[in-house]
Amino acid sequence: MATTEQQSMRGGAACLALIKRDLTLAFRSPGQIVNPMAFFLMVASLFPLGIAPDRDVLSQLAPGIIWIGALLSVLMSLDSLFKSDQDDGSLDQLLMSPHPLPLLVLAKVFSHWLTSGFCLTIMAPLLAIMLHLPADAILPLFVTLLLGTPVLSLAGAIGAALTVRIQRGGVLLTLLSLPLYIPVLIFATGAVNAAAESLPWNGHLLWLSVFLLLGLCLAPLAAAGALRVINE
Amino acid sequence: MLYFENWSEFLAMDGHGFYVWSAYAVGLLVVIYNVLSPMMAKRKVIASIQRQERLAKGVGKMSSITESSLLQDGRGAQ
Amino acid sequence: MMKWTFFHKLGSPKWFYDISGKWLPWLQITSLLSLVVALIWGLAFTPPDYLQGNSYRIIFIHVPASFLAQAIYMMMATAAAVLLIWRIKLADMALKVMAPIGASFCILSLATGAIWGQPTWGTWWVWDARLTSMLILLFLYIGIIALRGAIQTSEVAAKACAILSLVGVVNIPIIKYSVNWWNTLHQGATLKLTEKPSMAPEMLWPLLLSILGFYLFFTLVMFLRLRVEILSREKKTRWVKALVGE
Repeated sequence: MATTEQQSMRGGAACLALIKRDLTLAFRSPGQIVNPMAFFLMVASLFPLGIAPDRDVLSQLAPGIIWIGALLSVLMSLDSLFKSDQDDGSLDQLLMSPHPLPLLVLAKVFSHWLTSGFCLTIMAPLLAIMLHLPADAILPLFVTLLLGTPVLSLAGAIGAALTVRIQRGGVLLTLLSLPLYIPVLIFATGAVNAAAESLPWNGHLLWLSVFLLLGLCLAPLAAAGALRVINE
Repeated sequence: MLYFENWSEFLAMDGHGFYVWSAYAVGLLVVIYNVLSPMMAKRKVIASIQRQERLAKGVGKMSSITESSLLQDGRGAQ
Repeated sequence: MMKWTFFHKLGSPKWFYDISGKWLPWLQITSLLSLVVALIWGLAFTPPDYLQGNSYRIIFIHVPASFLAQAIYMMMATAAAVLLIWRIKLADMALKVMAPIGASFCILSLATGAIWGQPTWGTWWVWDARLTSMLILLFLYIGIIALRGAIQTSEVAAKACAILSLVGVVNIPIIKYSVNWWNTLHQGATLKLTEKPSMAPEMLWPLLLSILGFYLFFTLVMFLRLRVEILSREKKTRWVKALVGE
């Protein structure tokens, strides 16, 4: 029986292996990464088309538009978090592995974030320019997305785990995840709006960090529990 | 003490009658839904249990009878 | 050791069925009485509000509905914890049965809140902190009901909904805080539905009685639904067959 120290070392190695595998798989089907980014771009473009291309109106709405677009794009990509593993049986392998399931879930969520939320964060300044976001607010937008999109992936993992075995569970996944997303949305857009008016936005960032910490600690536990329950 | 002079004043609620009464109507609907829903569900469950019992008894008594006459038997028993 | 036998008895659906049967008539009478008395008292025997006139009478339905919508979710989370820790079947049945009741009270609270808004602020909906939080609570209820419906296996659905309600209960204070904060940013503090008991005693008493009546009504309705659920899930057992087959 391996000592706990040895096991936890192997746990870390297992996580790295899992991350490498997920990233390799993601790069093999680039649509998985590019489609949410295209969706992000298109959704953000819908707002000027549907409301008004007026500069003042847009610059007021820009933080909300960009954040909601990012939120919806992450939701779209969450479906594939556990589903493909469920389909080819690797999820059962994960469930049977000696490593703590929450840790493995965290690894999967990390690679998912790298291929979704992180890419959206990189794209965001482009959208900020298109939607006339004040220059002062672009850095805060970037930072809030950097802190907030991992929370979106983490909280979404819970819903993804609960719906992994449900046919066409995508909409249900959205329903389950949105209440968890609302506080993140509120504080993130609050930060960007405050920065746009040259007001302090550190407080908002602290709250986003709190959500990130809570998500890192609790979401893997809930998602792992859900995976075990669903796959009994 | 009663704060309204007569029925029409009570219904009118000083101009706010529509709002007060529609709010109370929604309340009544919710109450009715919560009372009817278990009652209807109970009826369904009891019917299904009785059906299940009848079929089981039918199978036990006459195990040589074909399925179609078994169903007929159940319908006749109703 | 008496405690443990009671606890295990608590888990027995048949025991609950028998005991709840005895409580039903009492619950029917008390809930009907308190509701009718409280609402007639509130509608006809309390003075009109100084500012809002007669429209404030909606409070006798709106406030109890809001309290119940939130309290029921808390009870669901408790049942969820009991289910996951002690695996008591009755807890899952309770969890399943409370969700639609809670959702209906949530809708009632939202509807009466909106109706109240029109004569008070001239608008049919207002994004004030309480109404918005209540709306998000409705999303939580819908999620649980939808998840229950989407999973075919009963035991799996039970545990999944339990996890979801626990996640939701952790989320509720976060939502409340966030929405409150968001609301102070965007609206003045003047838009608040009167809920605090800093009300005149003539208005407070019927309100308290109405809250009691609603709670009793909830208990009654929950017992009714739970009994049906027990019959449905235990339909293969002897005692149910005996009960129905008479």
